[in-house]
Amino acid sequence: MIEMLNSMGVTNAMITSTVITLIICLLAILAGRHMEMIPSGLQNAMEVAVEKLGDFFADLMGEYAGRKYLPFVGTLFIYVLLCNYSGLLPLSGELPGVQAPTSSINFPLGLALLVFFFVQFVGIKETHGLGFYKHYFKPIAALFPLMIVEDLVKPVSLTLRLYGNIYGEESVTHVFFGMVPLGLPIIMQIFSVLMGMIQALVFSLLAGIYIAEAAEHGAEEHEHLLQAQHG
Amino acid sequence: MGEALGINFTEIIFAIVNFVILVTVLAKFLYRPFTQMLENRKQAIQDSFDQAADTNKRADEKMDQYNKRIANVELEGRDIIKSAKLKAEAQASDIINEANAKATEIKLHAETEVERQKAKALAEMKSHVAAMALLAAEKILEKDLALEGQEHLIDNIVEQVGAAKWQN
Repeated sequence: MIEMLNSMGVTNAMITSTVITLIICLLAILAGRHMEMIPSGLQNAMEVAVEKLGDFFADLMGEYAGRKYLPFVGTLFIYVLLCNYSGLLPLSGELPGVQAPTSSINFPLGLALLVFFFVQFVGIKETHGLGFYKHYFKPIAALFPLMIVEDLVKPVSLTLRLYGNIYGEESVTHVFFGMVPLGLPIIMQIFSVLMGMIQALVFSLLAGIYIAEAAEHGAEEHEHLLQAQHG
Repeated sequence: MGEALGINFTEIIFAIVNFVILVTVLAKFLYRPFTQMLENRKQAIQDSFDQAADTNKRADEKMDQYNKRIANVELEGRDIIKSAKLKAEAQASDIINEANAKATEIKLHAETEVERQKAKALAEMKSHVAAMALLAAEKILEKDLALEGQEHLIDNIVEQVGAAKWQN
């Protein structure tokens, strides 16, 4: 069946990514279906995960943007992490239908494009319109081309960093596995656990920073509002 | 160029669609309800802490009140005892004074009575002794002596007897 899908243009990476998506959705629905005031089991674990993620991104992006855009950046982290870790599955890349999606350039690229457009969306929304693009002319208008390049480079760097690291790591593991099937691959897998985590963290962290920059205006407004409320 | 880099638009679309689905589902089932739940729980814990603090404060206030009241009661009791003691002392001294006065009166009364009785007895004795003395004198003289004109003698005898026997 997988061969059939493959012949229809559905790649292994796509299959793995879909399975991951379905598993996460299922877990979220199971955990969030019957919420109780005193948590236990799956709800407890998910709560800890959501809380830790929320605290992490709130520290990174500021309380306002971190909490508001947590669903985006938090999901980005979870999704990239699991995509990276799917490469740890035994015989990943060998078995049909199993391949770390992030080791194909298209998945990092898709996510990076999504981040890019989301940043534009957040910027426009938080500054109430196209005033957001004034930042291209600051501090001096002459820097405009450079600022544009900087913005366009962001998705490219996101893509290449994630793709390069995971693809490289997968390839190296693959080669080592071919050379010494026992022992060495296990050490490589342990490195891969760390790598997968770091890459997921870096990807969502950078996305979070870009979003926080775009949301700066809204955060300032929020701060003023809070001060007005308390003062 | 895309082909050379391994770019495949189907995969890109797939990645984006998967991620959008994931964000939608997680936002609905994970982030929003869990954030809400954490917020609710925080609020509930805060509420119960506030309530406990309030209860503690009220208990402390009550305790203070009771302590004050107990101190008051002690003071009051001491006052009551003191005043009762004072009253009793006053009463006792009154009684003693009264008794003393009465005793003095009785003593006085008794003394006058004794004086009176003494005088009466003396007078009686005097007449008896006079009669006896007369009788004795008659016996000695073997003749009647006229009572009249002899008072001086009788008085003399009585005086002597009285001086000897009734001195006390």
